[in-house]
Amino acid sequence: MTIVARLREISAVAGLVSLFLLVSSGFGLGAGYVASEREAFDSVLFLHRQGADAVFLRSLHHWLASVLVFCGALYLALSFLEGIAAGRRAVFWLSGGLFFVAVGFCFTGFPLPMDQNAYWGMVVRFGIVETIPLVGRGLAALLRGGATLDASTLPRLYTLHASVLPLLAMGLLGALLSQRPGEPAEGRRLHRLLSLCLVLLGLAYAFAAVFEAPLEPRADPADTSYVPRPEWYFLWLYQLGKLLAAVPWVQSLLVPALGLATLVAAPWIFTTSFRARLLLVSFAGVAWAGLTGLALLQNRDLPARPSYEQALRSRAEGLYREECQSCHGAGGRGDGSQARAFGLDCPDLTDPGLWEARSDEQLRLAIRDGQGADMPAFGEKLDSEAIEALVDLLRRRFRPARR
Amino acid sequence: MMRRRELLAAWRPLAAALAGLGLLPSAVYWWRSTRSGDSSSSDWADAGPTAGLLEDVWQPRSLEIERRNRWRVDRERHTVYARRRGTGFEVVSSVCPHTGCLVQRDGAGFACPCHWSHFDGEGRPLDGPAPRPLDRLEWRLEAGRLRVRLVNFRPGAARSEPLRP
Repeated sequence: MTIVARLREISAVAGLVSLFLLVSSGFGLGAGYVASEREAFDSVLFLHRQGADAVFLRSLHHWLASVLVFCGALYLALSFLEGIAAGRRAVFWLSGGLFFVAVGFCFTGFPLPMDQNAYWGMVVRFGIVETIPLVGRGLAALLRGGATLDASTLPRLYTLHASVLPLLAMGLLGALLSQRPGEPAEGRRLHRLLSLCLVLLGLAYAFAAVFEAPLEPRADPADTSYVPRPEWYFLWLYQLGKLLAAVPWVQSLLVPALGLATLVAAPWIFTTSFRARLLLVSFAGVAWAGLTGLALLQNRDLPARPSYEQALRSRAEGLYREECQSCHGAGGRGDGSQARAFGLDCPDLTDPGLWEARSDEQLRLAIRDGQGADMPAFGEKLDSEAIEALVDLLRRRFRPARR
Repeated sequence: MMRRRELLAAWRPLAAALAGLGLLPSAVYWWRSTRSGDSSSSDWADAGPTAGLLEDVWQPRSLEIERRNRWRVDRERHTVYARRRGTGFEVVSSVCPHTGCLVQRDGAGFACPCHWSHFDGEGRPLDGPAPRPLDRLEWRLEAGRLRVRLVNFRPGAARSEPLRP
């Protein structure tokens, strides 16, 4: 086996393992997810708070989506390089179809968590779809359920993601498997491939256990400061769109159409010359790497995107400064300027006795409904998420370490 | 004895292990998230003034409760039956102990429209498939109003068995 053939085999196996694990982790995620723009984020946040095994599922799903796209692209490039495309046209085309389905999975799965990244990414992507000449508006409306994002958008995307595309993928996989692989996979070879699958599964699990899938703050359609950026596999297209901003249809129509045309025509391109094929693949690789690198370079100075937890913390810190500090004091000792000026009854939040006597629930209620004669109620001003974040802040900042 | 090569060729267990390992995380999640992990909100609800309740006459009382439902807080409406009994009160759940339909008043007692269980004025089953009397609910008085502790019970069980989230 040549090195190219071996790499192709590994990318195929890794792609299939990713697809299987994406489906199987989807079974778990689907059981705790609601495809509604009101509840989607809360359900994902709930999952994140359920514990490490729940987050593991989402991390697995999140990272493997990238692996699938990467393996698919690699497999197609290597197949073409090896000349498989010419010899086994049907296998190549079916794999290409599967790759497009994988990209479809990413497109429809990306908005589902409804955090800032998901929401703004979805807005931009629909905007790009709209720029396709003639059919763009219709296609965007079909995916979105109308001319604007509304209550039916997430159900539509979720149906595509969890029902239509899996069915398509199954059909393509079935057709692919019925094509009979070049050499029959039996005995030791099959054993070797399955061992490879197990190793890849182990790697995927280890990675997902260590690296948590990101979750940004709840989608805020009024936030003007947010700068959405595409996933790494769309960065090149995004950069191309920026370079050719005057002709948006290059990005939305020409490039995908060219990709599709290349895929269809691949069995007849440079069939006799390995060197010409290598040149073409190298050119594509360099173009991809160049555009991606340029995008990363230009995006260096964009503001960092805080995670949900980070944003919540800084919100709580701001709230404490604005709403609490004047009485409770910067150190929580109840010695703020207002408390001292008016002789208010303001407890020392660093007192261990206070923390022993009060549960988090009582602290929440004290903030919401007020406490004693001097502490006003904040229930009208702050939502429950902010109050919970404040209690969390008090606990982290002022609660003395237990002996 | 199997030769090494044959042993290596035993791929079926490998394939099974692969499928099992792949499905395990989701299976674990399905199982462990059967517990919602939150029961902080109170299950006591207001069932209206006691003034209208009569001795030995069951009256439906509709009550509203705020329940933490995973990532949401829901307002739920339930119906219970209450009556005055001596110096105190009696409250029964309207949920049929058989499969969980809601029972209606039938003469002095109750009837379930789903499988025709009948209950007498004490809530005891007279005929039909109901396995136990109607479930009694805890009550207390607060400023002339009846407060009831809303609990669900396991359907089909021979004795009242409260369900915890």
